[in-house]
Amino acid sequence: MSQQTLRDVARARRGAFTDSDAAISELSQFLKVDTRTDVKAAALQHVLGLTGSEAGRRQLLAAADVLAQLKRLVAEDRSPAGHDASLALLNLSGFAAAGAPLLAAPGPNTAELLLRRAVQTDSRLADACCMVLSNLSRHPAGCAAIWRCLRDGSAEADGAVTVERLVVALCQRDFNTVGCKLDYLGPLLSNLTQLPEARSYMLDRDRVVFQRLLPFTDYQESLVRRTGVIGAIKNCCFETDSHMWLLGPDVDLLPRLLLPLTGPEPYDDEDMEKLPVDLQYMDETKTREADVDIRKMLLEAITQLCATRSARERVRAQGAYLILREYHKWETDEAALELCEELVNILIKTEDEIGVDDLKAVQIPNDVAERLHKESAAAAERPAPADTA
Amino acid sequence: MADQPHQPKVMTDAERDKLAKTLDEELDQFIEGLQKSQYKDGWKEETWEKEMQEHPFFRSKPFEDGEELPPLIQGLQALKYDPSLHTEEELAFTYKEDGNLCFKVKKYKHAVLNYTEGLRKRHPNIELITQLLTNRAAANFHLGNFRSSLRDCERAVRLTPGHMKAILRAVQCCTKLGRSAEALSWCDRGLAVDSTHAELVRLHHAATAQQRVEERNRRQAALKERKQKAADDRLLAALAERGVSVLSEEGKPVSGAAVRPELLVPQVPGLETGVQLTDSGDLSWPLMFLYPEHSQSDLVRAALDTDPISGHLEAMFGADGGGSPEWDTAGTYRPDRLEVYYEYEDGLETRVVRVRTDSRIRDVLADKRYVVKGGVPGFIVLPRDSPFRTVFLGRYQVDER
Repeated sequence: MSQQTLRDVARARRGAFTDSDAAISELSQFLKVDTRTDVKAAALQHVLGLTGSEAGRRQLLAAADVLAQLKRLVAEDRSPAGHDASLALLNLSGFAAAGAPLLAAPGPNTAELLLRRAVQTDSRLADACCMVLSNLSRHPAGCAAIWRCLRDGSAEADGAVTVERLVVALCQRDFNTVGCKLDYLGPLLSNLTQLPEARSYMLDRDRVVFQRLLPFTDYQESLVRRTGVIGAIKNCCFETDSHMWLLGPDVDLLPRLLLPLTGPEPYDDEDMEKLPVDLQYMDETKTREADVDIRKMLLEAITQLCATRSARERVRAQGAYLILREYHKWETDEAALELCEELVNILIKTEDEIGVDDLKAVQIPNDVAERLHKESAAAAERPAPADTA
Repeated sequence: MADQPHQPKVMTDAERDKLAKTLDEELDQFIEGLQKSQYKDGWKEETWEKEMQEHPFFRSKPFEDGEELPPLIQGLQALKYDPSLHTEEELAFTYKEDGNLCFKVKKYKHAVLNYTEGLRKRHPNIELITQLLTNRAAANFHLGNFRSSLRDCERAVRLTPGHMKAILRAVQCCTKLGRSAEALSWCDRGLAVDSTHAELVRLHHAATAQQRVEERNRRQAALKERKQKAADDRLLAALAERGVSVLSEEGKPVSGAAVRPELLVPQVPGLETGVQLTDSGDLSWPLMFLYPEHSQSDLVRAALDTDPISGHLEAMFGADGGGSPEWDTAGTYRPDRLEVYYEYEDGLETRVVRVRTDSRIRDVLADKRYVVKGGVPGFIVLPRDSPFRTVFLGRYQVDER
């Protein structure tokens, strides 16, 4: 049989919705920014269809020039075609294998493009770009690429995106004027703060960056944003050197961590005086955080803050025990209860009983260390939840 | 005579003195011989200090408000501000400088006036106008006019976005006005221009802390209001249950749901607490006993509504209680010889009702005819043995229960 017929047969075998690799590459010419609108739209619909199947995705990710065209559409096209292109990238980005090809594709720098669109106040593509960034940041290579872009952005003057701009975009009400919520900047920050350099930037005392996250620890309108913000805060709590600053008046982190764990139960006047301002006189309609994973993250963050003696004393002084006592009566999840009990144990012991100033400096015996390593390796094997549109 | 070079004569001291004296005398004669002229237009001996103060060069203190300016100074002023002698731009700058000078000596009202005049020139120099607005905002800030100051800051920043002085002043104004959310938004505008501006960062922390305190105060006030409302509701329910009627603001008796807490506030001077619901669920009323015969009265601050009236009469007039008051000269006010009445309006006429002294206060108040006025139930007390009683009751229609 001739090549042509072979190709036809192959096509027929793969079914109606698959094309040969050559055909996919041909698509790229119909995806140019200046292509006629209806042709462009049809091509994009086809691409979106392909992103729905594993085979289609594999083919698209192998077609670097198509990816390049999609990026160019996102960069330059202000019509609905740009939006469709961003959706296509989003569908692709949800899969682990997509990171490398998407970042490596020719055309505009992927991370930079997505970051610029995400913080562009009048862009309708902003939410899709945030989600792509969030997906890419779940893997080390993607996270590093995004961070590099942000770090270099700090050195440049205007237009470039910095971490500060990301945080402002996330935390300023109605930052995006055309209806995009930008909630997925939350998980992006959470992933970025796994890098020590990113944490260091977030904890800069000469700027107002970290503090902007605090009002969102009980943001009811979006679970995604709330989870991301609390994840970012929790990661930053690993920096022991910043603990006194975090617990001090310039940030005052602890009450915001305790707020989602606080319920409507009234305290008597004497106890009420001991509580920080944010937790006093709670309305009787106050409810606790509904998501158990978030509750656990909050407890872990507060536990981290109890690493050193002076920090522990500060946590005690701010009435943490009063809040956790009532929370413990309410909580039903075993793992969360255990975390709570460990934390309360630290708080109710006196400093003499603890004896050690920095709990993180404690030596772990070898067999215990081995067991802990095995457990954390097993936890890493479990698949992470997919963030696709 | 031989031709000798002229040798200056060497004088002796005596000869020198004589020469000096001769020259002095010659000078005196010359002066005497000159035409004498008057010293006019100069400062007089009596008034030189005042004259000195009025001279622009020698003036030592600033002018008070309303003080009339001396002519020399008025003249200089006219020159300085004469529009025919200066361009609009020069005048605007002059007003700005004058304003700055006033600001330096803390004459903020004058500074504001100067800056306003400068702005009125409407000279289109953006930098100048921004400075005039910012400076006027500063002067108004020091005068306590925070709202005007804030408006000028807004205008300044609209003209020159990122003008840090105006942004900082705006934050201060919002803080003084107690608007911490606005203060924070101004801080953010400033930080967008200069993200590590130390003063803005500090102000941001302060405004955030202030905002948290304000939110706590709101919650506290809301809680207090809810508690008060709950207490009021319980009291009103107790009153409704007992069928108590109260006089409304329009002068009509109301009961049940129409009763409001404001109608229960005691109108007796010096009495702070009106009717209360006790923890055991009883009502405690202040009571007024009136003795029209002697124009006297007694105020009981808190009487349980389950008390019989006789108990209080006993307490006030009984041998074990207050005994006989000094105004009771005839000795007729003995607890067992007293009758109790109350007034009520029946259509157009006023009637009185006789109350059995062993009645409970609660039962008297429950009577449809009894209306509590001014938050304090009142009772008229008349001694049975007194002629006054007959006269008094003769004026009314009496309901014997």
